[in-house]
Amino acid sequence: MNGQESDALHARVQAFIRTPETSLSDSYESIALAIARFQFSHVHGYERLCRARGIDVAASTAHSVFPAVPTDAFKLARVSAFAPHDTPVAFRTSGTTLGDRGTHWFRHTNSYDMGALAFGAEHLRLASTRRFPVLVVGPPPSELGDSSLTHMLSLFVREWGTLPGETAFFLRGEKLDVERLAEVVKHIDQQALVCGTSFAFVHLLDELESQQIVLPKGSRVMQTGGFKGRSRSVDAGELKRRLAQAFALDVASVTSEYGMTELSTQFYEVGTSVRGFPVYAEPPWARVIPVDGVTLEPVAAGKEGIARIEDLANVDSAWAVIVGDRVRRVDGGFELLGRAHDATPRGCSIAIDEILGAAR
Amino acid sequence: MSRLRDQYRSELSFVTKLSPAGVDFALDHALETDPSQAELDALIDGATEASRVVVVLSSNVFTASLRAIALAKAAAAKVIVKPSRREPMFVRLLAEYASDPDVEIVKEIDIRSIEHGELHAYGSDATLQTIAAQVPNGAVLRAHGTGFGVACIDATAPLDEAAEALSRDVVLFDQSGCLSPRIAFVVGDSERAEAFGRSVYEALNGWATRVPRGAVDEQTLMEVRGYADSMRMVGAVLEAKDHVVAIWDRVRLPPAARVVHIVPLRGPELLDAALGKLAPFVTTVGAYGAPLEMRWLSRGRRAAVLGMMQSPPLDGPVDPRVWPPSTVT
Repeated sequence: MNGQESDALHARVQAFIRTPETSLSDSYESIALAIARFQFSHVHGYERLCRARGIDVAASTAHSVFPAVPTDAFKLARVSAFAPHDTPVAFRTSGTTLGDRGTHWFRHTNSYDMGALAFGAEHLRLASTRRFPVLVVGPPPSELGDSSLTHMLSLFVREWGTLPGETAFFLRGEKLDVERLAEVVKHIDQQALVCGTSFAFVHLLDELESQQIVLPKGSRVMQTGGFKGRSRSVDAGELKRRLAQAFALDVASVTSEYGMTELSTQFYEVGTSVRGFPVYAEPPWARVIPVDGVTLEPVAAGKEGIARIEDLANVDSAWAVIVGDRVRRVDGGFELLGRAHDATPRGCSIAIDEILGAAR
Repeated sequence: MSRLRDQYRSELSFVTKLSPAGVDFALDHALETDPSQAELDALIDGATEASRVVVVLSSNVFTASLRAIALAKAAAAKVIVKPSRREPMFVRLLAEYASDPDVEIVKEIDIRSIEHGELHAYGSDATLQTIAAQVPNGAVLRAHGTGFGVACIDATAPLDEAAEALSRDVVLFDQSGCLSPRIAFVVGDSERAEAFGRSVYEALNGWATRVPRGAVDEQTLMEVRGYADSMRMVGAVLEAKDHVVAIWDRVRLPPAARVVHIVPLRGPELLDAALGKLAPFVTTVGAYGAPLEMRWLSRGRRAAVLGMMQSPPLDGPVDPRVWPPSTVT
């Protein structure tokens, strides 16, 4: 029964993704409200969260009154409207060595894929040709099949790329194949897209030292992900500069993606704010709203808050999530200000982050 | 002492973020001013003689400096103390009160200059690692890290009484101590755990007026909000303005701000298995009713009677674990 409801919602979301500007018969707000009600009825934990907030589901006519699910809940509960046998796709967070990995369950990835390709095309696709080389500095799906990032990148490889299958991936068995990457690039005679995680790129840069892998003019580089849980981290601006230098591109050709396992939608960097923070754009089917970290109410215009991310493509899990990143609305999108500040230590009671650090 | 208390209560409240009543409560119940001879003997027996001891305090609860200095004095006549930058006042007051010329309070200390004797360092894992990397070969480092306490309510314990005792331990220092209980195991089924949760919630309601929670920074409040909402997805949550009790059948470490996570347990012998990878970070196990029988639960940690978890005898370090906490013996 909820399968039919879900299918109908996915169809509305996909229609909205295809033509958001001309979808006069359906709006973001009405789809969001319908998904929120669907999740209230079928995602057990969400019903409890709504009830605890005193939400009168029948009487509520605004999607914005429905609460967002903390991303942490994906580690604790099955945030899904469906039973395990109905959700064959599972993307897992990288997790911590304490063993908590979050899981985002999917019946199918149709809406995910459609959104990723549509918004990815707007920000990454190279206009000159229908197909172009897509190279991934990351592991192939056969090695990391439960990663949403790997899924998205393999989607780009399959739908846009010219290299067959897993030959487009240059990290295997945790070993970066720099020589093959350089060799492949040497034979490329058209604009290419190179994608990878920040951490993998740092290793690539380490191996390259001062050497370059010269990409054809007009090529792009997409970096994503931070350094959470890693022993090394590099300033995002510096990483971009070094990547541009390594691939013989200008810095503007290196763009960043912001996404997470708990979402079905990604966000792309479109510039830098006057305050020096990266500004990301969201597609019409997702909204990033700064909210007060305690009351979870939207903050005043221009103020920073933690991110409440609404994502219509999350039909079967959590259409709105609360993440620990601080954001601020600006013209053209939102500033990504980084993680929320650490709590001030008040005693010798151990902080959760300290346990995670010690257990790494 | 009462004159000093009146004089410095507000200042201590400001620097510790405890409410004024919370400062008084800590001074009354977690400052070891009247140890027995047997406790002092144990303290001295546990110390190794040193030419001098340098004590570096950082993120301790404020009363812990008394034990830190006592441990140092048990090892050496000459003691140099560098108090925490955030809270230097209580150490200074202690030193003034004790008027021991061999206890010197310093604002800064160069760890690399400690060429002999012992260094007693307190703080977070990151702080201790930094210190450990700087200690010269001639000095011995005794590091005391952070951690948290757990409570275990046995199958026969009266729930209301156990809840009152647990709440007392929660309220002391608003859970900011390394002995503060943040997880409570209730031997029995989910219904018993939920009943205990309700009792703890009610007990904390009572404490909220007698000893109000102190100031909590915004990040911690955000963590509390996130914890409570996550728990609502999976378990039962009872939330008041200044405290939260959640009951779930799996372990989760809650933020430290009068937030108690309650877990049903089939038997006390399963406590460590339930804690999983959190087990090495447990400093103390507080048991209700039958502490001697449940003593073995502590497995190298301090065993305590529930309600007295924050008031251990002055017989050695509060935390007997060896730093860094990688394994449970």
